[in-house]
Amino acid sequence: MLLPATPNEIKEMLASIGLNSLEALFEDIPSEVRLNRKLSVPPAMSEQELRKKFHQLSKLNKTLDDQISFLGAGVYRHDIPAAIKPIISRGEFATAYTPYQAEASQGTLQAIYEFQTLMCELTALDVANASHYDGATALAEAALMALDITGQNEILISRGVHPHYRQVVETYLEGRISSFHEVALENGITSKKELERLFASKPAALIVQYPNFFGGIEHLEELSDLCKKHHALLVVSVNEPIALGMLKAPGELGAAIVAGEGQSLGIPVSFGGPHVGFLATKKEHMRRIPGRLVGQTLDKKGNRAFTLTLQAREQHIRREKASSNVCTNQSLCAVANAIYLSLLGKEGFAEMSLHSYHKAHYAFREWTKAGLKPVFTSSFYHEFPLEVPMNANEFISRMKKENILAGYSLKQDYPELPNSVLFTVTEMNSKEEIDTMTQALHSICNSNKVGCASAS
Amino acid sequence: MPPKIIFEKSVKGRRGYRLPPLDVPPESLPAGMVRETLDLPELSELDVVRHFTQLSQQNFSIDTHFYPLGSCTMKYNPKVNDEISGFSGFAGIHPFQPAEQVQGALELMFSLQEILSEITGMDAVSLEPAAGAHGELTGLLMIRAYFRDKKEDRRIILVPDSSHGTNPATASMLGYDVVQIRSDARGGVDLEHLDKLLSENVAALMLTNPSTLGLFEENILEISKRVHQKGGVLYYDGANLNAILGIARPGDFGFDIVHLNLHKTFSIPHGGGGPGAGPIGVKKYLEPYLPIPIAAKGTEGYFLNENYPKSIGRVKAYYGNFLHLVRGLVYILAQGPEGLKRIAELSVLNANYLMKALKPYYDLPYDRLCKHEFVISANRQKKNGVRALDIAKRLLDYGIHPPTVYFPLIVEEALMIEPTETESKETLDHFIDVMKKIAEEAEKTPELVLEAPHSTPVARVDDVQAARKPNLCFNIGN
Amino acid sequence: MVPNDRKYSKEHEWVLLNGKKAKVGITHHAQDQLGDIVFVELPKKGSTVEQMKTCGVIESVKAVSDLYSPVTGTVIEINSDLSDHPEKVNQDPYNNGWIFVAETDGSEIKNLMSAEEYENFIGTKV
Repeated sequence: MLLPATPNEIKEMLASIGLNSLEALFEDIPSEVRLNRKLSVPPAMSEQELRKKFHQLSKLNKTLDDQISFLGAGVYRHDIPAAIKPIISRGEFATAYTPYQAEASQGTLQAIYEFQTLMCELTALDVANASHYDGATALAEAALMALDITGQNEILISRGVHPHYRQVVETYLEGRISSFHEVALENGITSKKELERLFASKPAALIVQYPNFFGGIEHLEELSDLCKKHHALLVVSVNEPIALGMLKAPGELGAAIVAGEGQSLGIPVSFGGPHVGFLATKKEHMRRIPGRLVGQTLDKKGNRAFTLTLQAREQHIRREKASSNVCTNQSLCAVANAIYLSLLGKEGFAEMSLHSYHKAHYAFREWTKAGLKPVFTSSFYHEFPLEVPMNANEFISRMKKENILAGYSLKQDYPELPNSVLFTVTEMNSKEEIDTMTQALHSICNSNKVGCASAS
Repeated sequence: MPPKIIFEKSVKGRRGYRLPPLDVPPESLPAGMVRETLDLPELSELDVVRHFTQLSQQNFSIDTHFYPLGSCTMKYNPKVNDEISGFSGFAGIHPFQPAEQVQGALELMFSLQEILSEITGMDAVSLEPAAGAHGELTGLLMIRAYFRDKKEDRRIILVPDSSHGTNPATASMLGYDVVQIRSDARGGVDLEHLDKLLSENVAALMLTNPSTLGLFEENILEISKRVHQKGGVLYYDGANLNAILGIARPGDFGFDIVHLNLHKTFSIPHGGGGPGAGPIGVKKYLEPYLPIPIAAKGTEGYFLNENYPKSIGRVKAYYGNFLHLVRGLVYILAQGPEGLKRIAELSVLNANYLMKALKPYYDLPYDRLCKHEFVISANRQKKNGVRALDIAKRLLDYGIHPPTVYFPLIVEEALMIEPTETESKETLDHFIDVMKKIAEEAEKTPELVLEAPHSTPVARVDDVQAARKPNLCFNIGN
Repeated sequence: MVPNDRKYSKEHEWVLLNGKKAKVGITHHAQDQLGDIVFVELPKKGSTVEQMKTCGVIESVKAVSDLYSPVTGTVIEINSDLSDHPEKVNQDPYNNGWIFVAETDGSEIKNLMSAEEYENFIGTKV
């Protein structure tokens, strides 16, 4: 990229500060530390060359759209309305800074206020923040909040929570808690039997995912009652917010804090990032929520205006006493979420939610008929594990030959399920795609009688 | 008229998006689990596009205004970065696809790791952290793991009194005791105070260099020596890397860990507050503790290496803000080695040019060669009651985003100015003119400044009310 | 002049002792430094407080300050008015802006400053 300063301008400016050369601008840097060679990076490329090079690199990737995909496991392929990209690509949104100067940032501030409101509505909670790095780090912050609020120092976390999310929570909480108990699953949802036992450790919170990693719909109300009995908070991770278009909201069912991932709401899969986390909670915990908060207020002339508020909790003021260190969040992605929810609206979002549900259940019926064994019988949303008639990785390889990306092999995260694959079906999977998979399963089961449940 | 909130524009029955008809037989819904109410707004696509487009027009941004925000490096964000990161081959891949399907992405990550190592003088890089503060968290987690491994119980982190708030906030988030080091009269770390504070209980010293005053730390080699003598780790906050790109490398002047802000130095758009990307680089002895996974090159191609038994684990799901990593790499390859050095040269030239020109009108607490940013004080203007905040608001009336104010904390009525290398001389000269005018106004017609801004979509905002009676969520029921 | 019917701590709190009841608040100087106060986190009724240990938080738009108890004892009353009207601490720091009352034997209060000593203390700060 070319910089504006011309040789004449450089000369003039140097003269005005009494220097002879650009070199002289760095005489305060000790010569022992000067880099006395060119940086070893490739020579400068023009736009044309950049496009060519990166086009070639991108061609080495096979996208989800280039095959039939049933891969989910926390990152979901959903249709992205066309209007989102042009809006968030506008320089006024994309190249604006954090809205510390309210009068110069009403656009971003109002958009985030609307995002906060939409997240409150989805989760049925009172307060939502202006976003976090992703669902996993938002969940870690939610766990820290729970420790803070209750003063306890143990956490219970269901094995139904996404493996990466559990790992991130563990990383963040290391040293802050005396123990971190994983709660086993029973038939694909958090085991209440296990919980009764584990609550004896007086945890600050029980963390579950809704729907969970296996697509299972956790019984939040029962879990919330159990938590209340033991003075713990119910913290719910929502990895797939589209599910909230049809399922009861966690806030309705007793969740104290919801930490979610907004990628499904208008953001491409992007090889894992940038996505966007969000945190929502009840009114009484408002001052403990980390990250930015946009509030509505008035300006001096009595007009409605928006501003960052409760900033005194944040790092740039509270410094070492801040409840969290978060500074930059995922603001532009949050705006994308707000645009998505506004475009789909009340009816569209509910319909979108149902499409994934219906297609996933159709697929489940057809594929189990074709010979794959169900692993759980609990209710699920749009993901489900099925046992395949061979090593899971081998199965996935076989399917790749049919140009089908079958799903996620569960063995590495759940060794008790060595031959199971997690399948995800969204509105993007047509009946043809599902039926193509059914055909492929028939041929596998016909050629490999071992392990397939007999077709009924 | 202030714009309505999107919920206030909702009209029952409107929709902005249509799905195809359901092509499978519907399944019965799970009993007792289905929600009954969901109050999302109902709007047409035009309603939504107009609403958000109008909102955007109320923002200041780099694309529309000069934005000399110190410590933020508000440089122009080249559009080719956005175009390329938007290629379906980058945006349309899933992190759990098998390695052979994403070789392009892995090669890209690997190249970026190598290039960032070279730029910073470090031995290994992780691209996982999502922001600078996240990078700091990762760095401190690694430091903690390192000392635990050595069976040394070090509880203290040292930060200068001029540090960015995320430094002490991160340290204390991890349970460290934070101790502040004084800056000396030249604006650098006070060596005497450092000596008093250094001990075998100090895990690390976190520094930015150039400092938040825009000054290069003259004693950096001595500081590094003393910290390392006591077995401590020297941490580099990379926020100010723009000033020394291609000129000097933190790995060469004593730093053991570096975090970078791709959304500052490497031109990724700020997005109104994110997303960012905060890769970290480390010296060899800290490499075992890096978060997993790290992109690696094997005999059969590129892969994600999780074989780091001493790793601190994951700091976020998946691998980092990948599309931003694409933007960062595009930017660096567009510069080449001379281009990167040019960035440092011109950003420092622009800053010194402004500093010299503003000196007659504002107090300059550190009157010496600065790097890419400098701090002035509005103390002189205080006699008519005009403070840094008022000057900031008045700049908005002239179509210029204010500099950073009240930071660093060690300068009273601070205004931190960072023009960056992408601004032209005319823009700088205009800024000088405007600052001169405002200084005059502060003298002769202070009400103009005190009541500013006058020409923005809203007048000065009541943030006291906003904090006393927080309204964080629109009451949709109304 | 600060009221001379009470004692003062280095953290800018005042204590008004009435038998075994100690009323606590912050000084005019403190509220001036903080600016417009937006929130006060009061200690819980029935909790114990210890001299010089933190027992609450006072938040303004631009700063947050820990509230250090100037006395050792048990909190028996709190000014819950401050939840809706934190500005009372700014407007009337020595009367309606009181923060809590603790039951204490008062023995540790003698190591606090008198009105004159406190005046000197903030005098040197300024």
